[in-house]
Amino acid sequence: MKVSMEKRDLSSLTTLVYRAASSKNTIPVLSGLLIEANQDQGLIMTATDMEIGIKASTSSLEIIEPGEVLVNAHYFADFIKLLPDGPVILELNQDKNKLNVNYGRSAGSINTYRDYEYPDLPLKKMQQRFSLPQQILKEALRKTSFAAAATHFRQVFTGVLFDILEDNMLKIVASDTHRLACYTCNIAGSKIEPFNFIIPTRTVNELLRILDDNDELIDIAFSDNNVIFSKDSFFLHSRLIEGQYPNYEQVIPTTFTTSLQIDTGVLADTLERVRTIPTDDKLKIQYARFDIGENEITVNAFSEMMGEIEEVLENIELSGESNIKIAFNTNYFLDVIKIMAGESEQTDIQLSGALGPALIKNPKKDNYLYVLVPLRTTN
Amino acid sequence: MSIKALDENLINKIAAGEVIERPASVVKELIENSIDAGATAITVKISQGGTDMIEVEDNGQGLDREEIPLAFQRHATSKIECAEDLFNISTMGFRGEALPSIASVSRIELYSKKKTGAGAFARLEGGKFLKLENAASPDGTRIMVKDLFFNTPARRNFLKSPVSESGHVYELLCKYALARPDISFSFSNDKKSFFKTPGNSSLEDVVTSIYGRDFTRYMIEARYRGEEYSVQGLISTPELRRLNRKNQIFFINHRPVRSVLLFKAIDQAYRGRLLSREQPVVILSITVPAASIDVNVHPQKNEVRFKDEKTVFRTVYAVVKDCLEQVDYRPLNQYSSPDRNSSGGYRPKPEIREWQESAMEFKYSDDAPGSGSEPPPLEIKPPVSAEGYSGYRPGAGEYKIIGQCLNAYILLEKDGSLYLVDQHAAHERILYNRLQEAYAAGKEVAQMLAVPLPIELSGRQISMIEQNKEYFMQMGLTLDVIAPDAVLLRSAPPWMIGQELEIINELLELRQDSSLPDLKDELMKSMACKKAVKAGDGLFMQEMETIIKDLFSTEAYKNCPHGRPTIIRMSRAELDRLFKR
Repeated sequence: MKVSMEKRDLSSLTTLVYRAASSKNTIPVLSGLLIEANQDQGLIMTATDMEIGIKASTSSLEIIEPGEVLVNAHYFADFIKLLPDGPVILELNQDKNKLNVNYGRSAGSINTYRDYEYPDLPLKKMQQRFSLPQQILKEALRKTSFAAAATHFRQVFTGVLFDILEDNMLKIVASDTHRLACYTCNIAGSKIEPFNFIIPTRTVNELLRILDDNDELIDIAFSDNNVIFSKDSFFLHSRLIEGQYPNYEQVIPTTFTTSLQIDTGVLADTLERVRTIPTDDKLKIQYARFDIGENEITVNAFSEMMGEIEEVLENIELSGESNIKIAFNTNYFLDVIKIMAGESEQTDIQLSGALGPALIKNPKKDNYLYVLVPLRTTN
Repeated sequence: MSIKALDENLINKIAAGEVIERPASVVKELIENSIDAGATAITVKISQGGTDMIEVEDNGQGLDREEIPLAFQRHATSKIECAEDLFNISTMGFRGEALPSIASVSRIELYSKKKTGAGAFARLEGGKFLKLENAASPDGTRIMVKDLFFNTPARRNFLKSPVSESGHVYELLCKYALARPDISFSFSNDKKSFFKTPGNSSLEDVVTSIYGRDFTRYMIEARYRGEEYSVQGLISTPELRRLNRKNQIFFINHRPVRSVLLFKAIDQAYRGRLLSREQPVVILSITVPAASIDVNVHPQKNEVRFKDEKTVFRTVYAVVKDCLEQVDYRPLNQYSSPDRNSSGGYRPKPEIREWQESAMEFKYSDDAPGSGSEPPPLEIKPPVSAEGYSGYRPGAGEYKIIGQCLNAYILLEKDGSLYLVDQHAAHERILYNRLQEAYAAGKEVAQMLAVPLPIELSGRQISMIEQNKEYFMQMGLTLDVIAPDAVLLRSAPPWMIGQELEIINELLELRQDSSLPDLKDELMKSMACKKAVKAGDGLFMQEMETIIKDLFSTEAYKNCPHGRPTIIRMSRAELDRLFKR
């Protein structure tokens, strides 16, 4: 194999793909980055740890001799990233089993895997199911995936649910059992039978990296127990999380006793300050008490170690019951307020008493909601 | 006093002492009889832990009226005929001692019917027949043992509480249910049903019906069929760990046995996968040639002797290890649910493990000076010479700090004695007491769950949760029992997120016979331990002063929260003696 290309193109392709390679060393080939060059597709790179796999290609290069080579993904990417701008020549030295990387008058020679058997990505049997504009999917994932659990004994909570309902309605949901975020959108095009699937948050993070802020479509296909996201010459496959996602509709409250509207920026600033109250290790988490009066809210956070912060939020619009004392995990609250801050001056918060779940949303939009369950404190 | 031959009744009572020591032993003998009678469904009911009543009902072959008296005779058995048979035993019972022994110390009612014969009823008291007649009865045998040990008060007094006795019966029945997935076992205590196994020959179904589905998820199947030896069962992935061996259950030819040899084989197979005090859950049924074991070692038959220990050891070790290795390489394309490394990045270990580890470390690790592995963070040594510091201040009072030695101990002169203070232990005690003060008010927060989590547990665990509701509440865990084998988790301490199941299991595990652990206290101990200065940290004089001053004003300052001493005194007299002055 011998190719010549600009460092910029080589580096961007490598960066796109290499992260799917395994960083564990249990199965050596899975730490590898497969580089193939042929006249039809150009330069194709593949990496997979069998849970997630990425394949992408570029045609902006000159193929001098087709061929393929497997190198360690992380070593290769780290090196390529730092090359100076300009043309780079990759050439496989069959005898020495090295991949020579020539740039200017300098060169590196990288060890390659011998006699490898690289697994195929399950792309052949894939069946296209629907497409979404990239920016919609990006927004949906950005607004929900943070609510998923990092680890959980019920695996489904470590993923993001895609629930396709009647009339092509798609709900994207994530929850760690303490809070829940739900984004709703419609899938354009022909009618789709209702079904659902759960993708791991790691896959979501990779998707967020590659999705663009435009209306170009990303295709979503399935193959056995895998989902495949694809656009142009890019494929991301991921296994799905098996299991039954709990009925999230039941979790979303529909009746309330109190309805508040509050300035998003002011609330965000307050929460940021309150968050500087340190956690007293594991015995406590960062939380704040909200004393909701008719015209104002007093926010209080206390720590045995640092001290206390008390803030008064004025200019709230309240309807329904007042005089509610309620406590929330500061970080969970801030997570959603930061999202609100990006799109709305005001935030709607609906409550039912001190122990009922709160519903938080943008007063002007109906496609996103966040359920935050209060903490029960003993005093 | 002259020597006399004992009468039959007394012999039975003595023999009963050997075989029958508690309700669980009665249940054991009775269900072994049922199994030997070819039953496919066995129902066990007890009340008051079996001291009031034990009832075992089976659908086995049953007895005729004529056979009943024989069954209650010593050394009457249908299971062996000659001495050679002793070395080729495939039935559970064989001594012919069980029924007469039980009968001699209780009141018995028995209904039995063979498929072809007429039903019979018998009533005995202290081994004597009061009644024996024809009576209507379903096929099989139903035996009720009442008032156990009514005529041997000494033994009755040795029984533990009904809760503890029913625990023994429960554990025993679990073992038999696991040993014989082909038989449907059901168990209830004081009318409360604990489990019923399906009897469909699936070990996994038995485990699920006893321990719940959340338990089975972490089990993997082990299966090996050799020419003479075969091994079959379920073993836990390293994610599931227990703190004792109660959940390592072995069956040799369907007979539950305890065997040090097998424990060792398991330990070796799991070596490197678990911490030294962690134990896996193992349920293994091992089939060996009947002639290669001796079960006639102990009257209770729960020990066996192997003719070829090495082969047994090697087989079990290899099967379990192979099985575990396959799990390690399983990520290929299939999603292995308990593999937490696979869902992205390294995660800290669950909190609850951490505190236990560190707590234990302290008990067992050799913290001797010099063994501290961490180097001091700064190479600034406090001045040790007497002129170099201002330690002796008026008001600092009755002691003088001499300095630090080995970066681990503070030396102190006080009341005409030399004191050695373990800097880590001392600091730990101070921090621990402060934490206790700070949290004494009990300002607990619990995160209510947006999505309440149903959790499947064993009947035993459920009843433990019911008995200790208050304890779980205090910790912030709201658990509602929603089914005989499931609870709904409604709230939990926020830090437990994602590990609730593991922690609840571990709490119940630690419960065993003593009281439930004070999780908060353990957390405080672990926090204190982590934050305290370590052996190997160089200290400035001011730091030493603060530690010593705080130490003396702390309650219970002589020991760290784990019980190790913080301070040791060497009196003038002792020093003089050492120097032979």
